[in-house]
Amino acid sequence: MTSPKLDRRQMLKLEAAAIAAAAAGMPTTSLAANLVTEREASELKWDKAACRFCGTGCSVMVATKDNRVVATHGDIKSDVNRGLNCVKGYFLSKIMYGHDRLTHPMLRKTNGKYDKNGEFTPVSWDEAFDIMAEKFRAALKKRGPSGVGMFGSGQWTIWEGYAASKLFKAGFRTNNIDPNARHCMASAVAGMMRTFGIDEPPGCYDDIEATDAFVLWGSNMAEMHPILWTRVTDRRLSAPHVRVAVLSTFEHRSFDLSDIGMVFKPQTDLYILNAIANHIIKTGRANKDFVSRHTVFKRGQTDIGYGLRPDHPLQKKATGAAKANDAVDISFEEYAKFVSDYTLERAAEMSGVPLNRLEALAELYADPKTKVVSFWTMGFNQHTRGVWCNNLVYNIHLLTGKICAPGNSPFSLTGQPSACGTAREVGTFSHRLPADMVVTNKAHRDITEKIWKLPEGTIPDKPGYHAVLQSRMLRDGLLNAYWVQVNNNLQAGPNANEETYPGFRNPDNFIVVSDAYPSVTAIAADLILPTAMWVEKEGAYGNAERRTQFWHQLVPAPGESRSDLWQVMEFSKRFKVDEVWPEELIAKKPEYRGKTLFDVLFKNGQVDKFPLSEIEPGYANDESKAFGFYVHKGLFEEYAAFGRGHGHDLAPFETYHRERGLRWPVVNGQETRWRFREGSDPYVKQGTDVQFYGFPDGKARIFALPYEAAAESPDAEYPFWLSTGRVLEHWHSGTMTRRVPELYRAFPEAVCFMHPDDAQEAKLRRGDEVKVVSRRGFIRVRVETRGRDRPPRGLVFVPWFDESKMINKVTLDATDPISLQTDFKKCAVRIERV
Amino acid sequence: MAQSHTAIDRRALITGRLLNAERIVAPPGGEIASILVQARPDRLREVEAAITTLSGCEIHGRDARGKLVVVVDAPDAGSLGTTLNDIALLPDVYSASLVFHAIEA
Repeated sequence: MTSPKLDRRQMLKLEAAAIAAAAAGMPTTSLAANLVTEREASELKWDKAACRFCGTGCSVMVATKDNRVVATHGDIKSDVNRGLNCVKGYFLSKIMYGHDRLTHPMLRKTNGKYDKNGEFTPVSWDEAFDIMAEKFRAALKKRGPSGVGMFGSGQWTIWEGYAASKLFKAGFRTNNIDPNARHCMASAVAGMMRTFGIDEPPGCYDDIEATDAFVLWGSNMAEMHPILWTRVTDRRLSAPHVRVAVLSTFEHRSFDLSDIGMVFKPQTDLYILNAIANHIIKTGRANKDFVSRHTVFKRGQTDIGYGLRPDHPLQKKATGAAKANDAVDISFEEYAKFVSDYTLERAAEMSGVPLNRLEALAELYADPKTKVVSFWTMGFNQHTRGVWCNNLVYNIHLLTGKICAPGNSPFSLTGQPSACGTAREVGTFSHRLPADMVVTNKAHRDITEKIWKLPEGTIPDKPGYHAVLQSRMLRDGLLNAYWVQVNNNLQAGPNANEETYPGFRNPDNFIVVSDAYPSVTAIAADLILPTAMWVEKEGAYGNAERRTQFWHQLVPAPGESRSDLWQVMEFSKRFKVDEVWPEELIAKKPEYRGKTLFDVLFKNGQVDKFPLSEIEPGYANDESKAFGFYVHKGLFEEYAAFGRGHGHDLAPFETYHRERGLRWPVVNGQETRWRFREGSDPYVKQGTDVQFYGFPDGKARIFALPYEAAAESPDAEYPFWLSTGRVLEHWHSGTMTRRVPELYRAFPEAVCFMHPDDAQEAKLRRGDEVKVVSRRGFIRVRVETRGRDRPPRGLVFVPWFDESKMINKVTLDATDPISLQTDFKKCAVRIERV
Repeated sequence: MAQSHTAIDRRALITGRLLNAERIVAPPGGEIASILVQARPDRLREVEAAITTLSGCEIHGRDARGKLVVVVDAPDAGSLGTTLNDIALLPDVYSASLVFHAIEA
């Protein structure tokens, strides 16, 4: 050390400053720089990991000491966050050390025996799996494979989702497995599949520094994706010609940076999107060459309903509900005629946005000299016409040819760290298989069964119960053994009062919840399994820009906690093939007779192929030690076989432990930044320039889709729109962030944001307690008329992080009929003084 | 361990309070963090002044294009998260990103 005597505090401060300056590209003092390079001399051990929170996919450096995480900083070598960390990154050192961390399996018991109405009692893993296996067996016997199910997550690591999917789809032979990503980006998936025939964004984050304009469609990036927002801000401030347009149903922090801020009436985004397309065509700025070479036109099915229960009046009325995903071919002229009804003038009238702002927005897209990035999250996806919104924004980028090139990018942001990597790519949805394949396609099932070494006909050919349907089936007593991992669906799912909660407490059902903390969902369960989290296990996530990232296990899990991966694999040992498969299926592979599901699914010569000696020296790996082989590598390599050579190529396993992630397809060691573009994407044929190879004809689809009303709109009895969402301090349902003391205090409870004039009219003052009442339930909450979220008149916003003010008792379980994703942004409520 | 959960009445679960600040124990010792702030360039001086009035905050670097490096020296755990949010919510601040964070300092 070249420095004078500094105590540890001063050293840490200089180190903190130096790393921040480096991240900002600012000069730093040589003293501080030395401190960073002399890091080896300090007592901390530093390793890389992907952040545990949102879908941005920041890389963080994690310091451990005496088997605990003690410090973190943004990873300067990461292309995503370039040394920065957001407010949530701050929680990373603390999220594992909450006071009420679960450390034992706990079963509801009375007088020493399982009782659904008993009290939680610590039990051994053996006893936990005994009762769980008994209940799964009983459900399978009573209802067949449809009687069991699982609700997983976009927070599962890649191998966790893969192993769970395999256990249910192949082992139990049910497709009743769905991730909570269904609530988050199912509409983005269906939108991609309909427009491009292949999932996940064409562009990447590099577009941010290359573009001339940003348009946020229903995304509050400033609070929800702060690191990407930092990059957007940097671009806006360093290149004065850059414009930022923000659209939302209420004003929020992202409006601070906006040049064109637009608050529109809920659901009228459909109108605005079509009006922009019309403006482009009408003013002669459609890119005719691009359109004719790379696109075809479709008219989508209309009047598709709202994904409600079949006996709901709205559902009975919908003439197109049964064929919601259908479309017929049309010509460019027919499409142009269709959108010609959608004028900017009428859009202004419908949406309440001033015409000059809509014109300015439309010009960003129409002007051939302006490169545009469109970002969206839940405003589009949680929408009963969410798939349409996705299709309509692609329309605009395709009509102008502003796609698959640096700075021109329609980009769906994600909310969970592996919504893409696990939920989408692994295919943990009730209709999906790995690499964009689906259970309804015989050829896809054949490929899967072959890779999995299973007899033909193992995987059922019908989609299983999706998220909202699982809750309905639990309530109706048709889904009787249910396993929840890495999510808090009782708090997160819609219409908790009428569907989720009665389903959990239905005496016919046995509910298992794996979690690190006693979430609302865990406490409403019958059996709780304590779970290892984040760097307590080896992990892999895939972020929103197709980037796959790995980390090593860095610390042990507390008490008897075990990873979800261990839980799934260990539980599979409890079932013999003979009890869960019919005789005619076993007859096709008689060598499987008498074997356990563990033997067939995980000890299949592939998953157990790699010995423990291949684990990188210096790192623990609890699951591999338990099973006697390198579980993660075996699962990953088997999984990677699905995508290699088919547009989803992943690099060899070890590469990811070295790199700060790579964006697939990774071919010959090269990642892909812009898909579908010759020279950038190895799958594009030479001489085509652009090729949308998701479809056999190589062309993307432009859809004619109309405006249709929301499932529920305000009326005389329920005069307000209710939108739900998040706040900066808390991530999702708050199970991790609300265990960080100062943040708990910073935003301790949910409030009802409303317009001061609406409050005054109702004789309400800031801080008054009110009831937010819908046709389904109510919550009590305090009124907030100031602060970061500023709704227009007629709309209230309530965040959903607070388990004591569960706004999902109020929301409606209407979904997009194509993506089956819930619309958490629109229902009708009234506000009553308490 | 079991006690704290069994005490919860399941009926009251959805309406009741499960967590409160007292049940959360802060780690011992202080915390040190650095925060990169982006702010409106022509208001940088005011933003800087506002930040230095916050407890434990020091400015360790500035860039006229709208960037500040803030080091927070929090003698006791429990204030850093609030400080970070306070900065993020200041007028003319576009973003406040945590870069480095150490506990038990």
